[in-house]
Amino acid sequence: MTVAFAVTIQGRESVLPHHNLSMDEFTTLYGHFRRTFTAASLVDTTEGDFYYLGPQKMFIEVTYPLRQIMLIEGKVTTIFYPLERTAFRLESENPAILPLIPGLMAAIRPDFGLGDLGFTLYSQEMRGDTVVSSWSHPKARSKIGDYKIAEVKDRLAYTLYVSPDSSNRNRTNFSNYLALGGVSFPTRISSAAQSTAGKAFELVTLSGLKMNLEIPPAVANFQIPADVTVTKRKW
Amino acid sequence: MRFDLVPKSVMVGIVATLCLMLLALPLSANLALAGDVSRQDATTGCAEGERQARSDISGGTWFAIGCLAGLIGYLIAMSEPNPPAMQLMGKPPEYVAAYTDCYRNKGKSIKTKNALTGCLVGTGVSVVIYAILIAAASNDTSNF
Repeated sequence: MTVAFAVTIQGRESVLPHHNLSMDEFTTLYGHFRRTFTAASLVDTTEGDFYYLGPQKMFIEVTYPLRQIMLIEGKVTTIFYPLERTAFRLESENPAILPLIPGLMAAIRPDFGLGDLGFTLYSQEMRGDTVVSSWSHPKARSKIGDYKIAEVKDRLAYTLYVSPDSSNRNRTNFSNYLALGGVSFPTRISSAAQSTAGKAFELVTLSGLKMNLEIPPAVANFQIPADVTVTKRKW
Repeated sequence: MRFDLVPKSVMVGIVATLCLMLLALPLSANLALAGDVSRQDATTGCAEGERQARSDISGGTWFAIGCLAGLIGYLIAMSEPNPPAMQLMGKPPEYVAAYTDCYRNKGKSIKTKNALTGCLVGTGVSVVIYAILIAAASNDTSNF
């Protein structure tokens, strides 16, 4: 679905075409994920299924490298280990950051979610079939610099951030899009980051995505079994 | 978020953090974890929790809050930081326990230490300004 999205470029109104609308089109999202994080000589892989159940609510069942169930509901994160019969209930003062979701949501929103952060589109240019736009915060541009967003055929191709002193560089590529209803989701998200701490790479692949799926009772009514001791902690 | 109500130095930190969360996926946060995460025991969990807290929480930001907001800033700093759940995904129980404890303690330590320093610096600056004003007022009075 293509829509016209009005933005302001340095005080002048412009229009960005974008194939996606918003996350309002779905209430739940299910998928299988595989995340591989690489830094120096280590490779850390995690695999499992996730159910995005709405803003600030997510159910994750990790199947590799161990069995773990994670339920995030706003400020409460519950982690259950079915084999070890142990669990945690973690409470924080602010809602927890949902795994996997922020980048996915950024890819399907017309302004990549930057508008909510007070960002302004400063410039746009065509490079072949790629539209590259530069975004920054008007009150912090000199400090944080610009975020470059590249689109190919109305789909987010990559984001690039280089700090003004060039000490931090991060590029995330979005590819292998899958159309579900009126929304296209990237199913391959790869990132490379470089800072004074070193270099790191991350690859997230998603498969079996289903939108507005009826949530299984085991997920919808998930509760830690009564015989399991729950350790309560505050972040 | 009303950025116009927030001091610029604080706002820059907030904006940069939010953007990295949104656009850079969790990788930037994980870059701090480029240590030995192949071991997933309590010791590693604690070290990674502390490292993540240092990455998430800017000492300079909390110094500015303490400096600008004084005692209120110090009290704000007493609140707990908010870590990403991603770091606990696929990690064993002992790792999760150590990670959360060490993250919380380190985060609180960074915030309170810097906010208190900022609070004291802010108070000191206020005292100097008042002293100058009082001295100036005294000189004016004695001239009469």
